[in-house]
Amino acid sequence: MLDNLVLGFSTALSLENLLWCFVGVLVGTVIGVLPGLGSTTGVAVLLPLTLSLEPVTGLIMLAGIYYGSQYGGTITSVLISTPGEASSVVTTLDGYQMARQGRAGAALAISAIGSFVAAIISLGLLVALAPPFAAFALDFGPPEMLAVMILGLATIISFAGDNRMLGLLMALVGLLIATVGVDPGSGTSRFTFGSIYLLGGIPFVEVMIGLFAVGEVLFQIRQGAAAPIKAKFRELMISREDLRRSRGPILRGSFLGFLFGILPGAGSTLASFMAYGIEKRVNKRGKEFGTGAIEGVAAPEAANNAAANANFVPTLTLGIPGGATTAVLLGAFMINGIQPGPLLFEEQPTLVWGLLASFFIGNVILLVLNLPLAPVFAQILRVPYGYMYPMILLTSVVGAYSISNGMYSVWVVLIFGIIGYFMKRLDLPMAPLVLGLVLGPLFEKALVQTSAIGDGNLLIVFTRPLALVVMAIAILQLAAPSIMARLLRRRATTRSRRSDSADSTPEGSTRG
Amino acid sequence: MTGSPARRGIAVEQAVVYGLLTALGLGALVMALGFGFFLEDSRVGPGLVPGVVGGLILLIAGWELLATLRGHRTSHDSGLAEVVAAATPDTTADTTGHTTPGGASAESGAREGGSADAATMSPDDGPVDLPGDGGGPGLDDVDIFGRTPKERGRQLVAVFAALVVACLLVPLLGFLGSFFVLSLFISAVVERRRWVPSLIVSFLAVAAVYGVFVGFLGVPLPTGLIGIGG
Repeated sequence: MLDNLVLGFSTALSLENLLWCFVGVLVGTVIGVLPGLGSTTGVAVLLPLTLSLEPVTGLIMLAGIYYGSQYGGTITSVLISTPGEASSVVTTLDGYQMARQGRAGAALAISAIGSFVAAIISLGLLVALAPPFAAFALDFGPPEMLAVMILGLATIISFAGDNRMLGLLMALVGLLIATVGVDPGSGTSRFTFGSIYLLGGIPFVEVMIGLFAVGEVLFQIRQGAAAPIKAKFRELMISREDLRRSRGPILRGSFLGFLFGILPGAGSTLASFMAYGIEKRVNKRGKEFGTGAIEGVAAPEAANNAAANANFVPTLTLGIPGGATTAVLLGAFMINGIQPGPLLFEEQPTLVWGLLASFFIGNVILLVLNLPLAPVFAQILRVPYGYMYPMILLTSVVGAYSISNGMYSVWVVLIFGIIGYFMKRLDLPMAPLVLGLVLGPLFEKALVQTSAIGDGNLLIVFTRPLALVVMAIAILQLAAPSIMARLLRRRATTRSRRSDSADSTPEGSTRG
Repeated sequence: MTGSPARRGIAVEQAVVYGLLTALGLGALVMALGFGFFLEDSRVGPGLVPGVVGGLILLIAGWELLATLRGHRTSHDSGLAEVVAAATPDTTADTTGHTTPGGASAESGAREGGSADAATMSPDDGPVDLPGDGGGPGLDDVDIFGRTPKERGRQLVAVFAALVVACLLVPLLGFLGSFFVLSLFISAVVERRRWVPSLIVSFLAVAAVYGVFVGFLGVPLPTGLIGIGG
């Protein structure tokens, strides 16, 4: 363990890796600040840049974008109540209220500190848990992998949107797109319509750039310009009292975030919502939540960072991404010819431990950057969108071109840009599509192998205890929310009705 | 609900998208039948996954299409998000349905995160929340430059058409040449920014791309007939 960490730090501390780590977290923060541009877009658009780098260096930078944007997303949530990242939506509830009370500095400081503490805790857990988990996963056969993939899809479907039917539909579309090209099992070419381009399948990174970057830009144009932003420089005014109050929420948020983060398919958004909800219940100041309580900023911010790190557990050890962004990162691994999975820790120790060590370094850089400079980053929002989006489009098409050195990639980006626009416009969730697209080939491979093991009988999945348990969890996830939500809603209704009749204080009705 | 033109527009787009998806599912299913679902010994064949997936898409998209045509808007069903919403006391007030729509300013801020937030969790029979974003105006509103939704729709078409034209012009003007023209066109014509800053911004953007992609990464961008950048 210790020599692994030494190996990791000696890799991550090389001048080149340090530089790209810095670039990654800096760009990540900027991308997090820009509304609409999330970590998934950032990683997809900048992935082509890293192709000429060493694999470990490229992955260090891309991962830096991922966790850097978690810090950046907070800044706009607090200052203008516009989350730059879905995972910092909850932060708007108390963070923006704090900003209105003139405590934006304290809110930004506590979220930077909370994120940092959570990052260090979760990295400790990641470093400690990932290798034994990888060793455990070595026993996973195709049926188990199949079950885990179904669990991942079920999780992302049940959380990606308000409507699970549409989530399922999008996951299926992703799976279908993944079947284009030569079938790995039999060599049959499918849905190629005689095109040599389609023979290799629909390229993954181009689809991401189209959906997330071009689709988002088109959607923003249709949506219209928002009011100009006036963010003021404020001094950091975090008191000892603030820190004392936040200690508990940060610790609880970190562990909770990690727990949700290691679920395949559950991104950091779920973690931040759960942490906020639970903190509101257990904290003795829970009633003040929503009015600018610092605990309401500390807990979800800690949780989303912890979850972002924990997402790497399924991604690295099983090769099954935790969320949309780690799905794109998984694509980055594969482009570099590296297949994440249980063997990764044995076959690529320098890469894995270098990457993990770079997370520590990146988070230190982020803390140093964010404590004094958060208001400076917010100034980016002053650049008029009319100049900003042509640049985003330009970067997207050039990046796409450079993947294959051909215009075919650019056309794929444009087609999926249109698709992404309509998905956003009609509220169709994107994360299930992305996961379906990434898991498609792996899913089919596992299916073919399972059927070979069972001599054509796919039901052998149900004879393997581990696979059976995982499948049960997956099914429970899809079925349970309806039942639970109904129960909770009924309870909330009766309770609010009771409190309404007793006395109609606004507080009574908000307690569930 | 009678609905505004924008909402009706959304319903039409929904119908078209679900219609296309239904056709896609059907097409995939039919083609997959040709690939063969199973090989000998009833092993999984090349057609099984696309066939099953296509069939499910056909069923779900067809169902949604029918629902849209019959005027039912997609209801938000209760996913994990709703459990979270229900477990968060603050938002149960919303789901029990006696708060005013929209709620406090912080809650309307939360709506912008899209799918994963609590504020869109309306009761099953509630109206669809139109996708809102970035503190910007709603679909029916005029934005800060006084542009109506219709104008913004035209801008969208203009930008996309310009993108396609720019790609078609690559063999003539080269990659950087045609995308310089695109950037200038969008800033100065579509967004009606002043020409001089637009020129400067576009030039700097293209120069940066040249520096990173051609200078640093050595990507051979097509130079076109005129031979710009390469």
